[in-house]
Amino acid sequence: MPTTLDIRSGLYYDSVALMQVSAQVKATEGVDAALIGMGTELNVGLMRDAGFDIPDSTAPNDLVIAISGSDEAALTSGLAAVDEAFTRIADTAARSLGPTGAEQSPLTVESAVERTSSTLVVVSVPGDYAGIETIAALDAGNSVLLFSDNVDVDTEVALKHRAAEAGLIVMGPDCGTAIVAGAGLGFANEVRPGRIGIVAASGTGAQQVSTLLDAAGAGISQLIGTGGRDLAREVGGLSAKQALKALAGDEDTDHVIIVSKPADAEVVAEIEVLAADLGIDVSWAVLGPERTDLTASVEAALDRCGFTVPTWPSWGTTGTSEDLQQGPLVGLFCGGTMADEAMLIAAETLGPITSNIPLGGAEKMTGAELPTSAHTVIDFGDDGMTQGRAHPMIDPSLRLGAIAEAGGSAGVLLLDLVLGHGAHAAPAEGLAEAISAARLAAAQAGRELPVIVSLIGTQSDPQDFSATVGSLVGAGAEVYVSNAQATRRAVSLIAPLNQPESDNAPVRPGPSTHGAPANTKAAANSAATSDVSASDASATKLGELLSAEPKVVSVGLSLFADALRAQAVPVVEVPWQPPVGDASRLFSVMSDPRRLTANAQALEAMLKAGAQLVGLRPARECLGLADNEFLHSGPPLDFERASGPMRGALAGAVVFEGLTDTLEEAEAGLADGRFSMAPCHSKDAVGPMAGVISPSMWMFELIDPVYGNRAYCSLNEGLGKVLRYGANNDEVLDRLRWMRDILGPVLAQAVAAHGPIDTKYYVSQMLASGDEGHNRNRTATLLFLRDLMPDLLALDFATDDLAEVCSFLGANDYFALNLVMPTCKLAMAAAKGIPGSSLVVTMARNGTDFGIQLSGTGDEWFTGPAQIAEGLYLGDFGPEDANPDIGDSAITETAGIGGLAMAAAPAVVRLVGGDVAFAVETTRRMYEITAGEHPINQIPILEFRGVPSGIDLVKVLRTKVLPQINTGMAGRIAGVGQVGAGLVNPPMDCFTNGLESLGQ
Amino acid sequence: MSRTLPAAASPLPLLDHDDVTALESILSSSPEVTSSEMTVDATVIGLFPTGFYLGVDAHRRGTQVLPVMGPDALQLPTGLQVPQLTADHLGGLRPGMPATVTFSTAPAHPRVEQIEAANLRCAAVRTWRPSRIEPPDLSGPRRCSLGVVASVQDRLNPGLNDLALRSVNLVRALKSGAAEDVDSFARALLGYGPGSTPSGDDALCGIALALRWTSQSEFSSCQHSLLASSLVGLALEERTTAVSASLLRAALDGYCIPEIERAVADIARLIRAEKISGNGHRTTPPLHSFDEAHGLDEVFANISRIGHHSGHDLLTGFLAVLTPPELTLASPLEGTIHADDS
Repeated sequence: MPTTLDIRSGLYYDSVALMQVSAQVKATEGVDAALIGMGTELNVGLMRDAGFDIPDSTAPNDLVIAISGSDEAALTSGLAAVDEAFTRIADTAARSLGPTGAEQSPLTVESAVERTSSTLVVVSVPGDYAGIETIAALDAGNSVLLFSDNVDVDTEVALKHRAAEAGLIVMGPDCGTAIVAGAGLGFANEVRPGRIGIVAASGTGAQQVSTLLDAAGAGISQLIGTGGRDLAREVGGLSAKQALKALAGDEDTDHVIIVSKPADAEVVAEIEVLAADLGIDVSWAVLGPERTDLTASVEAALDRCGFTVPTWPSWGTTGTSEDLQQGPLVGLFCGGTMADEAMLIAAETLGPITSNIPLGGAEKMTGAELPTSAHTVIDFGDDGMTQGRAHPMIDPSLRLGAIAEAGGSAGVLLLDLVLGHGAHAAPAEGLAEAISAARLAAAQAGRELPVIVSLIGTQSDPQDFSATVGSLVGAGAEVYVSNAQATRRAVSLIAPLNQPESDNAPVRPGPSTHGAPANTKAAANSAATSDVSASDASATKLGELLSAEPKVVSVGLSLFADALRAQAVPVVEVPWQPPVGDASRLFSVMSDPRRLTANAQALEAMLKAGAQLVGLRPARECLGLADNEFLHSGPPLDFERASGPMRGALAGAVVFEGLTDTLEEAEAGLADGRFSMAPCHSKDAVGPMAGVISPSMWMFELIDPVYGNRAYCSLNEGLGKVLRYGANNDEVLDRLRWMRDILGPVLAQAVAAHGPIDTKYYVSQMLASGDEGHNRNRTATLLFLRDLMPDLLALDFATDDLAEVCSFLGANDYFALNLVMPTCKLAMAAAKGIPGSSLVVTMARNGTDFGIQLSGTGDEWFTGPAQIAEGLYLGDFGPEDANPDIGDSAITETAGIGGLAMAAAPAVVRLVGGDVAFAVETTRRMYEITAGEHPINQIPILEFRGVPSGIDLVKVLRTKVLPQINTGMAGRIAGVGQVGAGLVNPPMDCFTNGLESLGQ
Repeated sequence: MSRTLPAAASPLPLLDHDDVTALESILSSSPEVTSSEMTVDATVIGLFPTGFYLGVDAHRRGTQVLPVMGPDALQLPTGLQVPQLTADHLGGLRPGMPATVTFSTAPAHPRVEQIEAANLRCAAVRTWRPSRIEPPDLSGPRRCSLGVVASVQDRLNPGLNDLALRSVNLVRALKSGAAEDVDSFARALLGYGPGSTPSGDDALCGIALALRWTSQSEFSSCQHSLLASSLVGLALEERTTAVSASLLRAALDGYCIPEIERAVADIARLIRAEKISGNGHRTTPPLHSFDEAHGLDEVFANISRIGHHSGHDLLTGFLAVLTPPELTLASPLEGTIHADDS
């Protein structure tokens, strides 16, 4: 048999691709065998064993194509098939989106975390909502960099406790700087790797310390921010303690520097003890009246770690202080800690410094005008200066204007310039211009204006460090890498002013200050404040945060995500919008310690519940209905508020039961209460559309063999003018009588003869066959017929009756809806009654109101106005003919099928509107508001992904995505029947009302 | 040229110092060689929905493969990460297209600094941290009970029927310390299978990772050293594909893709969950409980996404190391005419 060999060098295809190519070649007419694989020794051996003469020169990286065929033409065709297949693979590889298109962006933090296996979430949303996003991230297993400010202290403490319990950390709030696993977060500098870790309750303080360590050649391992309030008494150093535990277990860290503005003495003491307990070497860089100099703290740490303390670089210095300047020191800062340090140092010589953030004993600035005679320091990053504008590190315009104006009065101008990720991309030029303008103004007034700049940055920062120095020096400034040295230089140039003396050492108002803590060496026998060992920390998610390759989810400002992308860090942005409902109530619900476990329990129960049809009985027997009791769909309803189809159905049922002769008398009796009304759900029943159940009606009776619950549903009347759409003429009533006298008894005996039928199985089969269980039920109907037919035909009933029953069932594709609904009811019954759970267990409409019930709030209904569906109309009907949403059939969506599973039944769009892409997008969107996925009810086109299961009220409120319901539309006038089918959502009111109750 | 995409380079060098020196001498008169960087020609040799391969002629060791990985790609430990690589970028590439790779020639670790192909340029801005298997903190014996091994093995679907048998043969040889047997059984795995990462290589990676995972035991540590020396002696590039050879070397140092690291962590979790019964025997809690089964389902859902069979092949090798000595993992084909007697 002829053979051919084609050996191609330097081409790689995975084994799936090779299989596809092989399959195509083998399918070519005349080809007998095709072996395609890489030319490894073993593969070559196999090919030779198969009779192909593979040359010895074949190398492992060669792709070997060996074909045998009936003749030369077949071999040629086979090789052509190879090329076609590889070309198609290449084209597909470049453009492949799969059969369902691209995935949508995640709508929640937890969705993004799940998709990306992220290690960290950056939260930068407005402070009122920051707690919600942070707790979502923590519950999803991620630590958080919380940049948001205006987060109250109670929320901060609650978040940090939750983080600690989960082995995570909240870096913040108001934390803008971190370096974790080599990735700079927020406003961070490119610092060389080293073995010194930093725990920082101060952003620019951390940047100063880290850049000095870089300049000294020491570098850092990690920089963990804690938020500026962490070391206050109210917070108790919760994040600092977590950070220490993490660093104690970090293989890359030998020494830790803790950086802070003035901190609570007791908190510091606790941290010192913890450090000793963990056996980690700690030094402190904490600003205060007795320690005013971060640079000195860095020098001490360097010395401790065995590094030579360098001479800190400076440029443009004249080195002389002979000509002291008249006029005040004016400090205009971007970094609050740099401003604090400058004030602490300057005050030692110059006395109290006026400021917008004054130290104790100093005067607070009022208004925007610079004092012309007092020594002044302004922090342009303070909240009062950033109302309605970006931080000066991003938008320097306000400060630049002040610099230019300061030339008129300042004796010495002291500035900081902070480089790094997140900061202005090219700040040097604008600052140099402003400095030149200030110096020119001073010169015009006959003065020399020294300008001293502390440049916080490294040679590796995105902004060109050297060029920045050049610009500033060119403008006449002196540049220092040490803010402390810059300040001392500035102070040395100031002639003494006539300043009132203060007996008080300058202090930062707020937490009680302390003496500088002793640097802590590892010590034995310290009173332990933590029972978490370093090895435990490394084994926890904290350890993973510091050691694993960073993957970040960002919610809020895009600048953080942009900075991460520039560092080639994978980052996914979550589009954020304020949630619906009261934010503090939502946070309270999310903080409920029961909620996650309760939701997990509810979801598990929902997915594990079974469903078996065990029989049929009249409602008076199985539901205990009295002669004058009637059930209806949806939440509780007074007759006077009932819509047309509901009135029509109820009145028809009253006449059907023989309680009145006319519909008018029936309506009167319903209105005055002689005939009572209650929701089907109150009797563990469900009914489609009006869902009216009367005592004589036969009910499907289902049980859950796992949890023992029962559920019931009436028999489906068919299509057209039927009671459930409010029709109640003689034809309808005659049909109901036939169902009572023939259909019900026949099916009851057939089911009794057959034995229990697994209806949960029907649901999974429906989804696999293109039905969604609400508006498409053909598969289940046919399965029911198939199961029941042998037993039915063996019953002792008149042949005509049996034939009529079979014909009736066969003509109604919706018949099994009335089995699917109670099946879903059983699933949700299992999930009901779990305190703390925010999952939705009921969605139902009565034609006037839409109501939901939650797992954690018992039988309470949360209602809102039922909506008009949008969709396709039958005949000449239009929106003006449609009744508001009606029916218990939304129990299917509640259980994860119906509209939630539209992707399994794209043909439904022909009935309800939309297109196939819409069907897929809709289901994908539903995953964003649900707690999990069904293990058995799967969607083939989504690679057999389980249907979205467990609608979570919290996620609905946060995403504003409402559950999608596919529904029939009843005519608003009783008796008209169905007017169309379409898409509808519950009103958001249901969910906001539910939130109020959950939060109590 | 469209804008440059930021990239993260692997800490595992594509070229070793000797490769760089050899290339520098070849390219010494080229303007592409500076005191700190060197640019060499490359070729697009593989194109996938989530990334592509560049082939670099290292001369001394033949073609070396640099995986360039988009955000949805398996994060091969030797690859260049490009988180912003999209289908549009890949659409401009074709197999066989010329490219260039720029290396830093710092003495310690030559690093990939930049690649260019068609209109695509990717520049390294940092070094990333590939997943790495570390010995877990497990008290008591490292060996799985039969129950844990069987539970996982029951679900494995390796690409070749006799992969488990070949893996066990190698593991036995490693335990015996017989170097010739080790070489023989390693050769029976190396390059065994049709794809660019043959099934046999994946199993070898699994064995290497498992030996590292158990390396707190001196016995395991010796076996690891024996395997490493055997594979080095076999001249990997002569027996298997370049990309697979690079992944094997990475596995010897414990590097793997995150999905494997997670699977190994789950196996550790199962081991920790073992209970001691009243008579002192270890038992494994039944896996039919919803949570445990669900956890294992997640593991295998992830593993099954790794190539066609690669994840299963790798775990086959991994479990061969953890199999108790008394258990024989006979292939269903053993003793039949279909058995491989090599």
